[in-house]
Amino acid sequence: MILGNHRTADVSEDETRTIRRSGNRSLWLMGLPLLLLGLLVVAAPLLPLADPGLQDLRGRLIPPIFLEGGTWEHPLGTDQLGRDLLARVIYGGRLTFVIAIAAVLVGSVFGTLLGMIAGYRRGWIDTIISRVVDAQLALPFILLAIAIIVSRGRSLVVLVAVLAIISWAQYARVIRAETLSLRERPFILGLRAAGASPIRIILRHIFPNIGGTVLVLATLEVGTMILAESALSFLGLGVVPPDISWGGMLAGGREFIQDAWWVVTFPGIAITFVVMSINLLGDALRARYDPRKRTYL
Amino acid sequence: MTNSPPVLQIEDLRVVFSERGIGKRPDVVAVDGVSLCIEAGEIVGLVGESGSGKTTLALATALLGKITEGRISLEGEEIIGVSRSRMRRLRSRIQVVFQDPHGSLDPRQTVRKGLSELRSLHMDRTAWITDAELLAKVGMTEDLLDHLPHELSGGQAQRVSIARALFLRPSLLVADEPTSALDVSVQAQILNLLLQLRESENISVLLISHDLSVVRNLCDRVYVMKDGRVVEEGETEELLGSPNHPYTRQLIAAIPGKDWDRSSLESSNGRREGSDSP
Repeated sequence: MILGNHRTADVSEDETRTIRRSGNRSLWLMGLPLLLLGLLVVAAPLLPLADPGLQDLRGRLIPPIFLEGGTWEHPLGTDQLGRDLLARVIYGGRLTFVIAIAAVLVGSVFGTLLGMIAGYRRGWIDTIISRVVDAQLALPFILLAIAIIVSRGRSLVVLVAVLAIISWAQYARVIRAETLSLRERPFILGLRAAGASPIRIILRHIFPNIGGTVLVLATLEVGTMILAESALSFLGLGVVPPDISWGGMLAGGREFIQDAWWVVTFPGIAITFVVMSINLLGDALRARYDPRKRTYL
Repeated sequence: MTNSPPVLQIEDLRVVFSERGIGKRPDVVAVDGVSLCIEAGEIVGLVGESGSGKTTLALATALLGKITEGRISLEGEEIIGVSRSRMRRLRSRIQVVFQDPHGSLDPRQTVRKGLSELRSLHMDRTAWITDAELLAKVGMTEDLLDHLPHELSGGQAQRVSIARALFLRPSLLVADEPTSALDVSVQAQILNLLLQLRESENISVLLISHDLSVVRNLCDRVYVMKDGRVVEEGETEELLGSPNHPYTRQLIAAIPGKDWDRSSLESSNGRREGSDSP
């Protein structure tokens, strides 16, 4: 038999492996600082730290150790109520992380689910979800947050809900687009031909294949959520004292910035460091899961 | 061949893609009034250039694509307007094999998991064969069962796709350019496999191809499509030997390095003798 039109489907596997391996190394490099910080924050009660809520009105605004007047008792100094800043930065990280991660979990679950439904079912469901996403992305988030928090009151649950509402549309939009391209792939058509139900296809086949994208988005979104939480706390819409978050510490120390810059600087450094690390980690993850680099092989 | 109703009968099928809203592009009529009939055990070819509507027709045939107008009956049963769940049952009597061998398998699922998923979907219809026997049918061994698709070669992946398609014992196999992404030697193997399966399982095949030499070797009848319409149809040898429509002649003339006179047709006439040697 003489057959024309030959085209091989061989893709260079070596190339893919190299990308993978170097991707792994930078993943570890980017993830390490966050991992250490996470351990520190989780283990905070076990560490020899001062009580972050203990006030000492005679020891107010003590400067950090490297400035004149600093003591080893308070390595990063104290705030306006004489509370130990090192302990507060570490304990503040706990709540900041919990809020950011909870918001990302809630937002990503809803956003991903709606995105997959919109992309897979198309039609009127897609139209409705897409229009809501557009509307959501057009709303200034601070305004929305103020409206919700003022009407629902300040609490952790409301805060997490607000942050989740802010973020779900991002996931929905990206995941819808990925699902749209995935649903036309032959293996999905083949499963439909085999009589697989839409729910099965979405959960068992679409989701595992967009999992990488969700992971990258969610990682980057943790950084965004920390910033958003800080902004809300700074505006007095976030966590309620005596709970501590980095944004709350910024708000509390704002008045003293002239005389005691360290009160706002250390939580500020913590926010910057964490958000930057998360973004770098997200970029490393993206390099690994980038849809353009990904070969379905 | 038999007196039973045709496996698949399509009448006046139209598929129109249209956009809604402001600034929409004009409607695209991908398939424009096509009628097609496939009898039991028949291999029917569908040829035509890219953009002629072959794949749209194939998807509609497999009950996976859009159908704007027309009647389709599967083994004598009308399928337009049936309920969604009934449609899912009916649809699984037609299985598909696509061009891209790796794209036809879920990249995150091993061969074994994929087969057991099909088993869980159709307990009754998959009990006839074990995984190993199924792979043996397409000339593969069971040590590939725990491989992920990217660990398979193109030919292996295509065999797995065909095995999956056969697993549910379909009445009709729609093969959309099943060999055009494969090496020449593998192409021949896959095509011979299709022929063997037709003999052993009495499966009907709709083979979509733009490669006339493949069609000539395999198909009993051929439909020639151009711009969404069937311009000519008939027995393979008759149609390729003395094409009536200018477009068919053009297609035949476009085969490089092939002398399509009557003698060369006759010398390679026997697709059954020729089919055993790869």
